[in-house]
Formats: sequence, structure tokens, C-alpha cells
Amino acid sequence: MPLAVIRASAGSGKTFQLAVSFIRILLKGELEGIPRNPAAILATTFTRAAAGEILDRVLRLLSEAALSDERRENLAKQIGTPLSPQHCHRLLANLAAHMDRLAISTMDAFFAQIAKAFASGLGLAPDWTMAVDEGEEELLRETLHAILGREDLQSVAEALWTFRRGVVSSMLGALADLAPNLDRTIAANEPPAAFARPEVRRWSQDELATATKTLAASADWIPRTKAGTAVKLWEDALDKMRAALTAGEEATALLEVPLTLRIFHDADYSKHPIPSALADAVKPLLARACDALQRRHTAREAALCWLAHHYKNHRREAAFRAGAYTFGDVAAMVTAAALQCDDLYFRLGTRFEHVLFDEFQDTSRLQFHFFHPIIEEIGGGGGEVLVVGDEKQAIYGWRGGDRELMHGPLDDLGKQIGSTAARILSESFRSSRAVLNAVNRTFQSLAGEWLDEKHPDKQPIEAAGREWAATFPEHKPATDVEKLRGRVRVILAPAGEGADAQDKNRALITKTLEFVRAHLAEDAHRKIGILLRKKNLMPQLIAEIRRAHPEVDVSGEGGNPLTDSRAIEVILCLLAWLDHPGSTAARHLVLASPLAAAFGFSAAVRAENPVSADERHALRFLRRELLERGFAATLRKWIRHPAFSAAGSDHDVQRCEQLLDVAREFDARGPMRPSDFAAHVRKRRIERPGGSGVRVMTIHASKGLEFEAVILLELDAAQGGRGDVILSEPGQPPRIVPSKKDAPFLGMEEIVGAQVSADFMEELSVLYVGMTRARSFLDIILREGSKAPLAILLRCALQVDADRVVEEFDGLSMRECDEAKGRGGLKLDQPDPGMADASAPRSTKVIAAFAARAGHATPTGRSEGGMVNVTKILVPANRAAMRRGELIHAWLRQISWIEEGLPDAATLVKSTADLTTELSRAERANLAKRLIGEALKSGTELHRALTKPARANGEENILWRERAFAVLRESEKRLEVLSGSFDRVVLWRDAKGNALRAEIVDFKTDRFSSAEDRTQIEARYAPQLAAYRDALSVLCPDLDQRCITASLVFVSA
Amino acid sequence: MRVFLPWTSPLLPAVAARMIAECPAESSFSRDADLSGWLLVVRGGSAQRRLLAALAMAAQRAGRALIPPRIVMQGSLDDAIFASDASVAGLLAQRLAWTVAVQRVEPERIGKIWTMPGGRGGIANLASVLDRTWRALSTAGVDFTGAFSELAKIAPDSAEFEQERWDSLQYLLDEYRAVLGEWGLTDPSARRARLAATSRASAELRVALIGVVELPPELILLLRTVPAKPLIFIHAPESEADGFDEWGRLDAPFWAKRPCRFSDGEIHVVRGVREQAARCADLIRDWKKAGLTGAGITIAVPESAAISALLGGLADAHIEARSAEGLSASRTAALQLLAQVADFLDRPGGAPPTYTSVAALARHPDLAAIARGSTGRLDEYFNAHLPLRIDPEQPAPGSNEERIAEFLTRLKSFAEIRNAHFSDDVTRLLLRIYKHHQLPRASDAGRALHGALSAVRATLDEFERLPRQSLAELPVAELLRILVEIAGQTEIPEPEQPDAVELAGWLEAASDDAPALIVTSVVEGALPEGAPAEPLLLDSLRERLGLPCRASRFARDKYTLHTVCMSRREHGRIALLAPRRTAEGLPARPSRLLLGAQDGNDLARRLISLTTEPHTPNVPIHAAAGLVPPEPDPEKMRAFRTFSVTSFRSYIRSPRLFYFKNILRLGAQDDSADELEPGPFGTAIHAVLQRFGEHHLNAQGVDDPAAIEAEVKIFLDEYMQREFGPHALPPVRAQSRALAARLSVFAKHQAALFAEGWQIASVEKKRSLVVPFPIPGGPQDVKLKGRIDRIDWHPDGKWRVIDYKTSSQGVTPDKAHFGARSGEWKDLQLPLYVKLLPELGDIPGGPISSDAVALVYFNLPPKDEDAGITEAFSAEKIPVAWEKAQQIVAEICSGAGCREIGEVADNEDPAFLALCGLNGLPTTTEED
Ligand code: SF4
Repeated sequence: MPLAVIRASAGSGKTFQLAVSFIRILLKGELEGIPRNPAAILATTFTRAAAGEILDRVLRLLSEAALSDERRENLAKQIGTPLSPQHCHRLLANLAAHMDRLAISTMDAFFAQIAKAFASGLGLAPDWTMAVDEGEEELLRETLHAILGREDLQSVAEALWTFRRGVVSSMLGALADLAPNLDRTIAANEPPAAFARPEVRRWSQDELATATKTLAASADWIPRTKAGTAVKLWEDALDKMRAALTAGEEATALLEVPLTLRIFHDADYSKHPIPSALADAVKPLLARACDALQRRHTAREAALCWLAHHYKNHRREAAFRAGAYTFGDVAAMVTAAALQCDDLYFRLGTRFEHVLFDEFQDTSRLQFHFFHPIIEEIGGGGGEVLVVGDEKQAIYGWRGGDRELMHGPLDDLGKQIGSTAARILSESFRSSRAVLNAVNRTFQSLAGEWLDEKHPDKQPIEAAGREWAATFPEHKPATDVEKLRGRVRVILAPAGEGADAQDKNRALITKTLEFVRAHLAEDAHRKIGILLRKKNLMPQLIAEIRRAHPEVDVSGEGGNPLTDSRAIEVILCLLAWLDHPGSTAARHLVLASPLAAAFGFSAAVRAENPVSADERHALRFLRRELLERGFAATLRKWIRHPAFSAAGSDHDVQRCEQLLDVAREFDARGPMRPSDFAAHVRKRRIERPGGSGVRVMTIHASKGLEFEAVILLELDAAQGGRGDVILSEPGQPPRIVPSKKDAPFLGMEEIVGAQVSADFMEELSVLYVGMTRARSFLDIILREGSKAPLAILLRCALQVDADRVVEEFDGLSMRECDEAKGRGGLKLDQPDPGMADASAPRSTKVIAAFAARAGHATPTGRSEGGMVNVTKILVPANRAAMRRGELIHAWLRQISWIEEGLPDAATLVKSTADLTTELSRAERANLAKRLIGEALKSGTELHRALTKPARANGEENILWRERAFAVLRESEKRLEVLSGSFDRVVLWRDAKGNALRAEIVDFKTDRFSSAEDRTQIEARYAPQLAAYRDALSVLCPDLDQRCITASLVFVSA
Repeated sequence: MRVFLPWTSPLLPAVAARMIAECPAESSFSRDADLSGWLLVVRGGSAQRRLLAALAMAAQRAGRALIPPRIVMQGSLDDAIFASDASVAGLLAQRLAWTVAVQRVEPERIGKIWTMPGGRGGIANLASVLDRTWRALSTAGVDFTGAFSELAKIAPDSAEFEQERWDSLQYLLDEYRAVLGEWGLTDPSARRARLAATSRASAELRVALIGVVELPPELILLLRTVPAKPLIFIHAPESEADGFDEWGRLDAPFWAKRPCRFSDGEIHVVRGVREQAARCADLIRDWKKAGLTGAGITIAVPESAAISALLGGLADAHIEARSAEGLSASRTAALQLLAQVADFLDRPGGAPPTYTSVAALARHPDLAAIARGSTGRLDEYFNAHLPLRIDPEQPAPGSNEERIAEFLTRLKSFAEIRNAHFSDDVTRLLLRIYKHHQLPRASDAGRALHGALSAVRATLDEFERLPRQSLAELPVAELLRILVEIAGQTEIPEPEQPDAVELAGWLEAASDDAPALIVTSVVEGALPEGAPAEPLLLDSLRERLGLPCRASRFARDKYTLHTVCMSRREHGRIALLAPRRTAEGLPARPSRLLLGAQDGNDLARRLISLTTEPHTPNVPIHAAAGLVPPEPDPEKMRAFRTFSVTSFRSYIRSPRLFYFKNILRLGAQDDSADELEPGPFGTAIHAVLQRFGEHHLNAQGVDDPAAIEAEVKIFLDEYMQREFGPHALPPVRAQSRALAARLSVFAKHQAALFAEGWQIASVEKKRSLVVPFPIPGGPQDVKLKGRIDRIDWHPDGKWRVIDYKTSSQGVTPDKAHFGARSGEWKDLQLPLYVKLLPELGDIPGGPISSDAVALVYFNLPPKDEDAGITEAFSAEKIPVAWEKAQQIVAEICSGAGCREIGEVADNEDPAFLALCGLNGLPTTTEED
């Protein structure tokens, strides 16, 4: 059966299951004698770490099975077929051969890969890259600026104001808030027309006439008490109604009056039936008000559509211009395109035959749609489809994750391609039985009734609870953790009379601090996770825990920003100041700190002094360093300065190292303003190596983590606050879920009810994830008297009326427990590969066949010291001179001795026809003529150089012209290759062939105006001539170095 | 002829010895070893240098005088076999021609190649992709039509779908060739094809390929034009002959199968890039103890992202190291300057330059003479006007705007570049900046400058060879960007360092035969390198065309790693580092290269060791105090005398912040605003209402809201036009609608006030009101200053001191001045206004008697219901407020104040937070 589903509860080892399934698929092929291509198994998950872990698991399970009988038997049991060492070997070899192609990746990376392959067709920018961090923000900014820069700004404003039901001070801010929703909204492709805000429906005098009269005569029909006085509540209600029903008032104001809803439902109000006079008078108006509300609601949906359409277009254009896309953009573009499986496989270079999904509950509808044809094809072709997920942990609904996929769609799929019964994993390898008991009690109690009769949402919430609990299996500890000690407490944080939100938070924090103190008193090294519902209490909590326990490392979600080190703050302020000289506060901080010296500020540059030339100079120097050397090199120089080690703490030093990591990452992205870098560092959270003792984070961020002790807070925090919920289905216009208050008047109670259910199910999942992070200890802090459903549920399920321990189990500590089961993995009788000794005995004297790297030098290079001559590099006039030099050298090479005759000018010019040159043919001919003239004219240097010297008897001279050389020599105790070419060498030998002496001539075409000038030029070339002499003496080892002369010959032509 | 040289020793010395030995001595008299007729082809730059050294050494050992051969890398084979040809288009001409071709072709056709949303925004990018694709494809010796017919063979199904795209590509290629033709140039591949088809190389030329294991088809054709059979040196024993073809190229399937074994001792599993650096340092220290010098050690770095961390780590261990990669010219100040100038010149339709480009230029360190300290002034300008494009029109004399306008004028004349004089103008611009730079050639900055300017010059030379009119088709900004792109590809070598360990890219390092080699990042994707990703050339197509592909890269890297190890096992040192994470910190996969030879239990053991997280000891850290923030200076406090009425609120909130902000007058500045922040938003409303007030001073106002609204909207428009103009950031334009909405709320309430008979008696003046504020028992010379938004008078003798409030929610004076529960003072502003009243001088209807005055807010939040005049501040609290103020002043002037940190808002500038010692606490306002 192709489709298999594993419902894996928290801590039940789902990575292990995935790895086993991966191996099973491969093994099946092996057993059938048709080895399978491991790259044809697509396995997707949600984080890169998880993807890496799955692969590691597969490799290790098989490797350990190959080496240990016990492990192999275990694995065989899991797989359900016998497994021989040879099988393991073959599978490993097969995996190793395909290592680069294994399709184990995150969903994001998979879509990015597709987007790369289809960039041209999908309309992604050529050479696009992934937008991360600032890139992502910049993209949003560009998009919003483009929307606000539209010609029809009026429409933008109207649409936005319609959606927001009022004018906003910052359209930019409002759009930015709305952006995630716009991103998720599926908009029409057709450009919508201009948007106009609908008129506000207001009452006119006329239409109110009847109602006004009736209300004025309320004394006639108002319900009365037994004593005969008008019921107070009714009087108030009628006052409100009168106010709502005045001419010029918005029609929808009527719907805000509590009495109206009772009229609408023909129900009693405060135990008195609605007088018919009132009902008759109000009902017609009520219908109109409903109509107005309906119009407003429809207009909001239209506004959303309008905005979403333009947002998407502008976003695509902005991304195309920037050549950068976020993972979200990429996924949206890929899932929106109807790609053919065949085309996909062809472009990716792999045809998928099996597919494994991890964390399926977090998959979105769109992603599912994308995978549907692939799954169908795989299922149809006999491939396997494994879905691992846990709807209990579906906490990403707000990000598009769709828990429903685990049910209907998956069932349908099963019917279509055939499926085996789902496996349910409920054995926890993580938590102590105390924790699991509390989990079981909490979620099993959802089956019954637990909410007060009067709770306004009793029905949808309890129904949601039952639905959620329907798939809840009883959790049991695996043998690994059977003996793990544990304790679960529920604590009620008191909120005194008239306490406001701040007081209540205060109470929570106080309680939390109390429990942290208690935990640390029990064990100073206990790893504690404080998990919250939202982020707003985090800074305060972190600050206070730090103050109370300075010895413990406390960090927030994903670690703190590096600015938790003061040294880093000083560096960042310097960077900001470099960019913004007006930031005198930053200047003060930098110059007043003992680190100032590290940045190169002299002692005279002080915070309290006015800005000096010294200071400006130092700043400019720093700016240039950053520009040319990049952040990493410059920051490293600062950090290694003694001032840092003198003033900074260990913590500062460690954080500075991490700053260097960030700097390196940024250098690779190209130049960037220092203040932008600083801003990034401030935002980015970076964990300190080794992790913290106490970590404060949201429950969402804790997914995938575990802690010895968990403190859960704010479970009763009012959820929502995420603004409007928008439902967006492919092929349908988006719908806005109305407020509970508006729902009946819009006839949309069902949708709202469904939303209440969906929200509560997600709440339950959040609670589940939070509770199951704990290994041994779980403390749940609730606000006293909280009416939030989760709080009620916990109080009811765990029977809490006051602070108490609800579960306790005395057993092994976490450390003892882990040691007992040997979490360390297979011990191999081989040395730790990381520690291998690479300098094992070998011939200590290396080399022989090798030479150490030699330096490289050229004679011309030797004369290139001094200053950079910018004019010489840039101005082409000098290049004409160079060309002239090149030509003259080329021609002189053709002349041996004047006595042996000179070529004519035409021959010379012709010989260098293929030399590129700025000189015209006529100029060249002229130059050649002049050169010949100079050579022939006695008295010139050139003439002398080219005239055959007299020879003594038996002597012979050899002439080298333009002879290249490369010699190896020792210079300053190291090897150096000296290579170049002699212009002209005359070598004298005696009759026996012994070298006698040599003359080296180097032609120069420099112009000079005075003897002084010439001396200077000669001095510059002196090292060059020395190099020629050196080279020649290596080439002719028998020649006495003193017999080598070298001279410059200036050619003036 | 193939010559096999065993891989148990390094290749180049063996080749050199052999070449020298076989070089005939012309006569017994001559000791010359004349190799000048030879052309030696090697794999990389370091092989080029090493081979020359090896030849020199071999010659000297043999006692012969070497005339060196030409040694080239395979890429320049055509110019080495045949003379170079001036009519061949260089990199720049090719790039330009593609850009022009893409511009010329109609958008529909471009759309067939690449779907482009919203116009031609990405066309420059497309040209660069096509340029690259074509250069890759052309080495296979086919054009797009040819490639398509191959594609159709491997994927007949998608052929139909793809046909249009490839036809269009071919069409563009023809256009590109036509453009080059117009410029009198030819495409280099066309030249190679022509040479291969029609020319013969000189009969004297001898060619040797040395360890060149990859050669594209195109170059093989070129080599066939050489009459003498090339000598092919292969670094492998003869027994491996099947692994190479007749040209010495690797046979990928052979190498995919051949086991290449690396021992456990050679492999070092480490955690991440920092640990790679640390392990390198450890190894080098050990090796040096065994007698090696830095010059004998090379580190191969397949992941270029790791270089910086490796260099840093080695420097920390005091090991001298040098990167062979050199400095990319694109990183130099000079090229960054040109890139910024390009942004400055990017002005579609003659629009003014963007603020960002001007701000970048103002910050460029080499432009100080032109910027003359404009950075701070630009920040100020930015925050005042929020410009998208910057264009101060008719600035007031002496104003900041005028200074900015002058700066712009200087910039414009500096950055004037004309298409027709492109090269001259760019040269002039660079000369102007750099002519007077006095930098030693040998310094880092000197080398960077020299390298950058030489690269620019070389690229400009190419520009100059193009016909003038060819440049007219592209905007100057585009030309400049292409100049920067091409010149930026140049690498400026680091100076040689005698004893430094050398870091080089993988293939470079592999061809460097230093006795000791560390290969870093032996993980999948780095080594072996991943498949080349070209959007238009799929791997299967590349493989079919004989271009580098996944299979060929694997073969190449496997063979190469094998030879570098084999040749060092006997007499050298080798270490392979296998990190668990890539240089980017992502989980890494074990390299196939380390798994290939293993089987059975060996493979299992190897995999376990490669997937085991190495133990890195955690150093426990104690959060020691470290740095302390600066303390307030009592002297400064004692000298402080003038207090603004609004500053008391700041002092009450945070005395320490007050010290830095009000006494030291420190400030924060940036240019990151995207729209009017609440401050300037309020300022805009204040400014408009001030004008409105002036217009209606002491007059019976009209009570028609519509008329008032119309009036203030005119003021608003004028204000927005004056302050922000047409080139402001788009969100500002949108905000003027929100401002208008607030003003219409104002109009409604103001009309009611007029109707009630209130008159405007006084409005805010430019100058602050200053009054003496003697402190009983303290300093007598203290002054109080402030401005009053507005004072209203009613004919029945009542007065109102009015403060406009533009925050999003309305608030009453009592709520603003007292803590909600504590009842403590939060602010003293309104009661202190009373002290300022005498300074107003004569007001019609005045003087204002302080018992008849009500201190009120005029709330102007977006919601109409919350707007309007508030109830008055409790009159009995006024004298108490004065006392409180005196108390605060006394505390400060005694030098005892300003210690307490109090409450500082999270969104305060980080420098202020740090000054108050509050840094490090994460501020969490983000959404989850
Ligand atoms: S280098 Fe220029 S900016 Fe720096 S102090 Fe000297 S003159 Fe002033």
C-alpha cells in the first residue's frame, strides 16, 4: 500500500521513524534484487537542522547495524524484515555514491531548487538570490514604497482606510502590518478598477420617524419591576438606542446597542420579552443597518482584494529589480505555477519514486496542492508515500499550516492510492511519567464537559476540544525514561482587587522568579526553559532573572543580540558614528570608553573636547579601512588590541568572536554602510556557545527543543490580537472572518464559530507543545481566576484550586537516566577520528622531490618601488610613449651589428604590423627612420652600442638579442625565480669556450631634459641592471661576476 | 604522445627534469637548454609559476642555461598558438554587445527566453546571464540551435515546449554577433572556430599539456592545428592509462568507479569553520616542528567563504599566512567610488540624483575634498525633507539647504561623464581624486589603488577601441556599471611573503606542489564541487555537450585529491579536514571523495566517524562586569542654568538621560526614516495651525468648519510642498492625506470654538520665552524657557493656554501630569507656562490674570470623538508644580542630580541606552 501515515506524538522519536522508513524503502529494492536510487526518495522537513539530522540518522543507523549484531537486530525489528551485514554494506555504498543527490531537504530549499531550475519560465530575476535579513526588509520597503508611489494613491488610501475602518496616520505602517495577510491572500490576476470608499450609511430624519416616536413613548411599553418602576437595565438600553437612532448617526451604530441583538433574535432582554411596539419600530431599521454592515464588510473584502492584487504585482517587480526573493515569495511562485511532473523531474535531474513528509501538520494547503500530482504519480507507480506528522503539534496555523490536511485530504489521498492503517506513536523517549500523566489527564478530560454552562463559546470550544482529543493517544514513557524522576506543579499567580494588566504581569513575573530560584537551589546547573505565549514579557523576565541570578546565563529566544556585551555596544556605536557624525551620543560613548585607543584615537581625542583635526583624521582613516578591508579584518584588528582584553570581560571577548563571524558573513555580501551593519547586529539574536542555563522563549520557538525543567506562563493570555483573520482558498476571493459581535447580523455565525474552534484547537496544540518540552519538571503558572478556556481546562483536569503539586514521581535524575541508557551511541574500537595523530612517524626530513615555494621576481619589478604614480597609470599619453618603447625594442631586436647592415624603415614597420598601437602608420615609419638615423650617427649612445667591438685574438663573441631567461637563486635566504629577458648581451669567450666577460645593454626610451634628470632615471634603473647581472651570473656560472658590465643605452628617436 | 609520470611524486619537477634532459644541446659548445619553441599548457596560475621554477632548477642542476618556454593556462591557448588579434572582442565588448543586443530585440522575444514582470528592469541582468551562458556554451563548439538539437535528443518530450526559447536565444545570438560586427569586432569563439577550420600553426611550435585533465571540445580543435604532435604529460602511472583519453582528459566513468583511498589518519573531522582554522594552526605548528617552513605549506580552500575565517584563525595563532586569491578590485575604494558615481548618474528622465547615492558619495573617504564634511548636513537635510531624490530648490541663503545645493553642484561637475567622451571623462574624474594621493607602492592602500586604476585603465582601453557611436546606445550609468563590473573582476595579488603559509582555491592549491598540503572543507558541495548551476544549461545537456558537469567535476576532484595525496604520502604531509558544518554554518554532508574506496565495515566506520560531532569543550563564562558606562560630571550640572519647561518631564522619567541629552546636549542622528515620525508629524500640524492662528489673531473667526478646513488644507499643501516637494519618499506623499484628516478634525472643533466666541490671542513665536526662575536657597540666576502653542481669549474675560496634542490618543492635562496610580508628578509643562505668561508682553485684552487662565490641551487624534479642548489642569496644583520644578533645579545645580537611570524607552537611540548602562536587554516588539 503506497500511503503510510505515522502520527508521532511529542518525543516519540519521529526522526528515527523517518530514518527507518528511508532505510526500509532502500532495503526493499535490495531484497527484490533491484537496487533503488536513494536520490529518488524525496524527504522534506521544516528546518535545515532537521534535514541534516535525518541524513545523519540514516547513515548512522545503517553503519551501526553493519558493525553490531545487536544494533542490526534492533533495526531489523523496526523495519520488519531480516537484515544482513551485507545488506547494510550495499545500502551504505549506494547512499555514499549518491550523497550529493539525496533529496533530503527543507521544504524551503526544495522550492528554491525548483525556482532556480525554472527561473526563466516563472519570471524570477536572472541570477536571483535569497533575500534574508535586511534583504527581506528592503524588499518589503521597496514594495510598499511602490504602492504608495502609485498614481492612484487616492485608491490606495481609500482601500486601506476601508479595510482599517478609519483613517490611519501612517499608511506605510498600516500596509506593513497588513503585508503578511496580503502575502497570503490569493488575489485575482485581473487588475481591479480604481477603488472608492463606500459612502457611510447614515440615518435620515424621515426613516427614523416611527422609531423616534415609539422610543419617545417608551413609558407606555417599557418593562416594569414588580414595584412598577421601569427596569433600570431597560432604561439604559433604550438611552443607548435613542443615541444610535439619531439623524446623521451611522446606521451600523444601531448594531452596537446590546438590546438590538436581542431584538434580532426575538429573545428576552434582562428576562423581559421585547415589547412588540419596540420590535415593530426597530426591525425595519435593523434590516437596513444589517444591510449597511454587509456593505461595509463586502467593501472591506474588496479592499483587501484590491490591495493584495497590487501588493503582489509590486512585490514581484521589486523582487525582480533587486534580484532577490524571500523563501515565501519563492514558495508562492512555485506553488502557483502548474508545473508538469515530467518537466520538473527533467529539470531537477531526478525522478522521484518515493516521498517522505516530516512535520506534515505544518504543511500549507498550497504546498499540499503542489505535491498532490507528485504523490499521485508516485502512488500510482507503486512508490511509497510516508507522512509523518502530529496534528497535536500544529501550531503554525497563522503561518498557513493546515492541520486539517492530516485528516480529510490525507484520507482522500489514501482512498485514491491505497493506504495502510496509520501508526500511532505515543511512547515518549523524552518525558518523565509525571509529565506524561499530567499531559494525559489534561487532554483526556477534553472528552467530557468542562466549561461552565454560561461560557459564551461553550459549544464550539468543547466541540473543538473533543475533536482535538479524538486523536489523542495515551502517552507512556519508553523504557529509556521509565525511571526518570518528575514533578508537575500548577501555580496560581494572584491578582489583587482592581489589578490592571500590569499588576497581573507583575504577579506572573514574581512567581516565575520564585520557581527559577527554587529550581536553581535544587540544582545550580539545571537547564530551564521558560516558555511564554507571546513575546512582550520576555525582556522584563530576562532582565529580572539576570538581576536575581547573575551567575546564571540567561538568554532569550534564539539567544540574545550581541549587544548584551558592552564592548559590542561600543563598537556598534562607533560604526554608527562613522556614518553619522552628528551622532554625538555615540561619539561620547566611544571616546569616553577605555576602548577608544583600540580604534586608533590618540589620547588627545576625548569625549569632552571639541572635534579636532586629529579626530576627523582618525575617523576618515577608519572609514577607509572598513571600505577597503571589510568589516571582519577591521573589527578583528580592534578586538585584538590590548585595550580590549584589558577592559572587556570574558563575556565581551566571546561575544566579540561571534561578532567577527557576523562580519565575515557580511563581507561576503559586498560593501555596506557601517551603520547598516550595526543595525543588523543589534537585531540578530545569537546564542552563546554552550547554550544558556535559563532560556526564555515563546512556545512556538521551543518546538523541537527539550528542557529538564519547563515553566509555562501566560497560557491564559487572551489570544487573538493578530488582527483580522483572512480565509483564502485557491480560486476563491478572500473572506474576512467578522468579529463575533458582527457575525449574527452578517449571517456568518458559522464561520465565526468555526474560527473559534480552529483557534482553540491551535491553543490546545500550543499547550501540548509547551507541556511536552519538559523532561522532568513542569511548572504551569496561571493567573488566578483566569477565565481563559485553557486555564479552566487545566484547573479542571488537574483538579487545582490552589498552588499544588499535581504529579510527582521519584526516580533517577536526568543525567543518571541518560547514562543508564547510553545515549552516546555505539562505541567503536577505533580512535576518535577527530583526534587522529596526523604527524605519525614518517620521514621527518621532507622535500627531496619537492622544493619549497619560491618567490618570483622580474628585473623590471625591482625598479617599481616608490610611490603609486596615478597619472602614469591613467593618462594615455604615457601609453603612447610605452608603445613607442615597445616598437623600438622590437626593431632593435632585429639589428645585430651596424657593420652587418641595417634593415630599412619599411621592413621594420612591416615586421611589427601585428603589434597593437596607437601610432599611425606614418608615425611609425617616421619613428623607424629616426631610429635608423640615430643608429647610423656616430657619437650617439645607440651607435656605440650597435658597433661591433674589436676582438682580441682567439676571442669570440656571442650576441644575445631579446633572450629570455629564468634562473633560480637565493635571495635573502630564500629561493627566488628571477625571470625576464635581456635586451642585448655580448658574451666573450676564449678559444676554449671559457667565458671571459659579458656586457649587458638595456635600451631605454625615457626622455630626459637635463643631466640631473638622467642621473635620477639611472638611479631608478640601477636595481634592474643589478638583477640582469645576477641572472647572467647564474646562467654562466664560470663567469667571474666582476667581469659582467651592464649599462643603459638611451634611445632618443 | 602521452607520457605517464607516476603520482607517487610531484608532477612538475618530473616534467621539468624530463624536458631539460630531452632538450637537445645544439652543439657541445653551447650549454643552452633552449625551450623557447615550446608552449607548455598548465591548469592554473600557481602551476605556471611552479613549473618555471622547476625548469630553472632542473636546468641549473644539469648545468645548462635555460631559455624558458612559454607557459600558459588553457584559457589563453588561442592567443598562444596564433598571434593575438585586435579585432577579437574582449570581455567588455562582449558584455556591452549583449546588453545592446538585448535592448534592441523586441520585448516579446525576450519574454520567450525569460518572463519579465514589469518592463525591462532586469535586462542588464539578463544580458550578463546570456553573456556567461554563451561563453560557456561556445566552448562546446555549438551555438544555441546546435545545443537545442542535442537537448531534443535527451528530452524529446520537452523539446516542443523549449523550442521557442532556444530559437529566441539563437536570434539574440545573431543580434549579438551583428552588434559586434557593427563595431568591427568578432566573437572570440568565432575566431577560434575559424582558426581551427582554416589555419595551421607554425611548424616549429611544440606544445605540451601538463596535467591538463579537462579540455573543452573547442580547444581540442584548436590543438589539432598544431602540426607537431603535442606531448601530453599525465600524472598517473601507466597502469591507469584507461582513465585518460588521447588528450589526457579524464574518463569520468573510469574515475567514478576507481577506488581512491584516504586513511583515517589523514582525515580530521572538525565542527565548523572556526575549528577548521584551529586545526590548521595545530597541524602547521606540528609540521614546523618537524622542519617544514611556511613556504612549504599550502592550504586548499574549496569554500571561498571560509578564507576570511581561516586567515583570522591562523593570525590568532601567530602563523603568517597569505591568500593567493588576492584582493578583488571591486572591493577597492576607487571602484566603489565609480560604482557610487554610477548610482548618482542613474537618473531616468533627467530626475535629480537619489538621496542614497548622494549620501554614499558624501561618505566616500576619497571624496572628502568635495564633500567637505557634508555627511552631517545631509543627515539633517534628510530628516527635514525625507527626500527620495535630492534637489534643493531656491534654498534660503546661509541655510543648510544652500550648503547641500552647493555640495550637489560640486558633485555634478565632478561626476560629469558624457557618452561620447566616456573614457576621457572617467579618467579625468579619477585623476582629480587620486592624482595627489601619495601612497607607497608597497603599502596595502598603494597596491589596491595601483591595481584598481590599472584595471580601470585596461578596461577603458577596451572602451576606446569601440567606435564612439556604439556607446551612445546605453545610458552613462549603465556604461559605468559595466566598466566597474569588468574592471572589478581583476584580482590584485597580495605581496609575496617569504615564509607565509599560502591559502589558495582548490584547483590552484592542487597544482601547487608544496610538500605539505591541508585540504579544508572536504564536504559534499565544496569538495567535490557541486554541479555548475546555469539557468539555461541543464546538467544533462552540459554532459552531452562535453561541458563541465556533475560527473566531470566529480571525476576531476576525485582524481585531483587522489594525486595530491599520493604524491605527498611518501615525502610530504597531507591532511584533509572534514567539517560537520559548511562555512555558512549549515549542516554538511560527508564527501563522496572520502567514501569511495571504503566498503563493508570500513565504510560503516568511516561514516560513523564523519557523522560524529567532535567534542568541543564548553568554556564556562562568567558575566564579569567589564566595561562601565560613563558617570555624570557634577561640574557640568552645576554650570547648567537654563531649563526648558518641557525638559522636566524628561528629568522625572530619567535623570541620567536628562544629563546626556539636556546638559551635555548629545544627540543621535541617522537617515533611516521612511516617513514622518510622530515628532515631525506633529511639527507639521503645529506649523499649519500656527499659520492658521496668525491669520485669525484677535479676530472673530468664521464658525464654518468647511471654510476652516479649506483654509488649513491650503496651508498644509503649501507646507508639504515647501518642506518635501515632489521628490520626497512615497510614504510621505501618502502621509499628507493623514495630516489632512487630522486637520479636518481640527476644523470641526475650531469652528465650534469660534462659535462659542473664543478668539485667538497669541500664537507660538519663533523665539522662546525666557523668564528668570530663582531658586529659594539656591542659585538665583536660573532661567526658564518655553514656547506656548496658543492662547485664546473669551470676551467674558476667560483665558486658555493651549497646547496642541497630536498623538494618536487624546489625553487630559491631569493624566499627562500625574502618574495613574502613584499620583506622582510626570510632567510640569502646563503649570510652568503660567510662569512664562508675563514675558508675552502686551496682548490685546491682556494682561492675562493668572486666576482667569485655564491650562488645556487641544487634542487632535485621528478619532473625531477624542478630539477637542480638554478640561483644564487642576488650578490648585499649579504652585505645587512650581515647587517641584524648583526642587529639581536645585538638585541638578547642586551637582547631586542626574544619577538615577529611571525609565528609558526601549526605542531610545542605542547610544543613549548604552550611556545609561541599559544595553544588552533585547527589546522585543516584533510580532511572532
Ligand atoms: S585628512 Fe582631511 S578630513 Fe582628515 S583631518 Fe586632514 S583635512 Fe581634515
